[in-house]
Amino acid sequence: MEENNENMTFENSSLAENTAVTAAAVENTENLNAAVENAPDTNAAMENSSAGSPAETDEEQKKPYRKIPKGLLWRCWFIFCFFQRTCQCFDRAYCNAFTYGIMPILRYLYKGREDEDEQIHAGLMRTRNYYLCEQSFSTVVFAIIIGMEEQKANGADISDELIMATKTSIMGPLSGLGDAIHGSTFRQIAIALTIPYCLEGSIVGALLMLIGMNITPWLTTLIGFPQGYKLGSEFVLKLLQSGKMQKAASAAGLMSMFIMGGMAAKYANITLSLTFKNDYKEIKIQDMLDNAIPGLLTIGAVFGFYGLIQKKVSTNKLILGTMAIGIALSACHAMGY
Amino acid sequence: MSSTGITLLVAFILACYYGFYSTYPFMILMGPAGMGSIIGLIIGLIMGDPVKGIEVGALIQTMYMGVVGYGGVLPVDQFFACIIAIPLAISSGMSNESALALAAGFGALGVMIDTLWKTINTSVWTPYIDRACEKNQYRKIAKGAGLYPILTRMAISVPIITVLLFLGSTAVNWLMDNLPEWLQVGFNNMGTILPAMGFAMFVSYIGKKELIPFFIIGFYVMKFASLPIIGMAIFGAFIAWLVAKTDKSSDTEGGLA
Repeated sequence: MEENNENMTFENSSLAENTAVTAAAVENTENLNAAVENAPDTNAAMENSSAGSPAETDEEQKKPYRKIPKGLLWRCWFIFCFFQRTCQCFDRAYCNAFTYGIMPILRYLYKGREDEDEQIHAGLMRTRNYYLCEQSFSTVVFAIIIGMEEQKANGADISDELIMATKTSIMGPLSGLGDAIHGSTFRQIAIALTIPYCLEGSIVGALLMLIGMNITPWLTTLIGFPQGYKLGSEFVLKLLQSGKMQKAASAAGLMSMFIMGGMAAKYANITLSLTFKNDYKEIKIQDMLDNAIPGLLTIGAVFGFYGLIQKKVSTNKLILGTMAIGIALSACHAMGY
Repeated sequence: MSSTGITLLVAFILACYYGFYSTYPFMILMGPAGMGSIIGLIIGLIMGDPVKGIEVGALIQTMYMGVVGYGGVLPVDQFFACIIAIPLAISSGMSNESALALAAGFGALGVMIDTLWKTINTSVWTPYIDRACEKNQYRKIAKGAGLYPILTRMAISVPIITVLLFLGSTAVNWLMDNLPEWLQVGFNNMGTILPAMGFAMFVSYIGKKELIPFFIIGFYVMKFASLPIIGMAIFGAFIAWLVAKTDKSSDTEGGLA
């Protein structure tokens, strides 16, 4: 414990500098600033509690520091992961999973106390506000909150507001990070690499897609969950301020864009069957187009759809519109014959 | 039922697979509830034809490329589209493009089920957990967050899907025999155009206008050279590395990040 404390204080000194960097790196998050300002308080509070100021020493001896055992920690990780979306709702998103996941931990931490019921109740109520986060980084948020709850249960001066504000302020940036890393890059690369095989009906392709998509989220949670629990909110600040992560994500985005372009050329192939006949010969419109700009219709369709999506036209309208166009083209024998 | 039809039992098993997995249990394991190819594999295994299942599933997935429902918002229910179209495609032997057109129609119905379910979660189960929290009733919290919403989703979707699949295969077979040609070709056309929408969604999902030229480069490299996918990956990685390198050396221009 004492060694840990020294680390904390050591890193504390540089936290003030970090704060500025982080705030600059992560825009659009008003809450984050609040959390960043609060972060030094947290650490100060942790120091006080576990190093033990003279006044508290008696109490400390009565109640040894109650640490959450590893088994319980991972059991709650499983509960939280498994039920994260099963009771999602409109007004508070995934908050129900948070309540369920943290419940065994609160029960363990406050077991046998005089004010057991009230404390658990208060702890549960701390989870009843809006919570939404990308699924793998969500476990990191969860771990950080568990860490804070453990400190609080062991006497650290952490207020309800601080816990709730930390949760609300880190879930946004982490969610964004998760979507950027997994959602729009690594997962898309995995899909781009395996979908050609799937389109040919390859079982191995489908299995590889399943494995490939799960690599980075699992790495995130297997590394991030214990780290988040150990280091608390400091971990997140560190993660967010390292610009390397964003750079890697950007390069991966470029790569998946390039591959997807290739996929579009291979698998979206729109051709017209419209022909003009005169006395001498038949002219196929598609041949003329292919001679001028190959793939014009396909890429035109992609960016036509893109323009409509940018204008927030709903997917259902797009599909209905496509159906109308498809039937219209068929009715005048312009396509598909 | 004819030999090509789906038996009631299989329809029911498929419906249960949807009802359970569409609540996204163990969300960190992506795939069984989100990706057409993998859904196709599972459906195919249940119905004994994984190859056709994956083929159709992958085609549906290309249509919805980039729409994965991150952040909890689901624009189309790819899973529902798959659970209807793939079994019908396997049992009736219709063309993959027709199956895709069928899927597009059902994707919208799935969203309605999803919305209904979330509304019930919002107005029934979340207040139920709130009340349980007031009194520290741990079992009620656990059931309210896990078991009950899953059962709710199954209660909504299992009957619909079972009936659709059971009757659907007969109806679809009948339709395929009796549909006028222009309509069938029209649906095929729709299935040909829709993948373009999938790629458009992917491009707008990545959300970086600066990267669009690389999509077009990729398109034409493939169009003219028809490389295998691993070749595309090598070129893509190399270009990404080059861009990142030049980006670093000329920070004044702003770059891609």
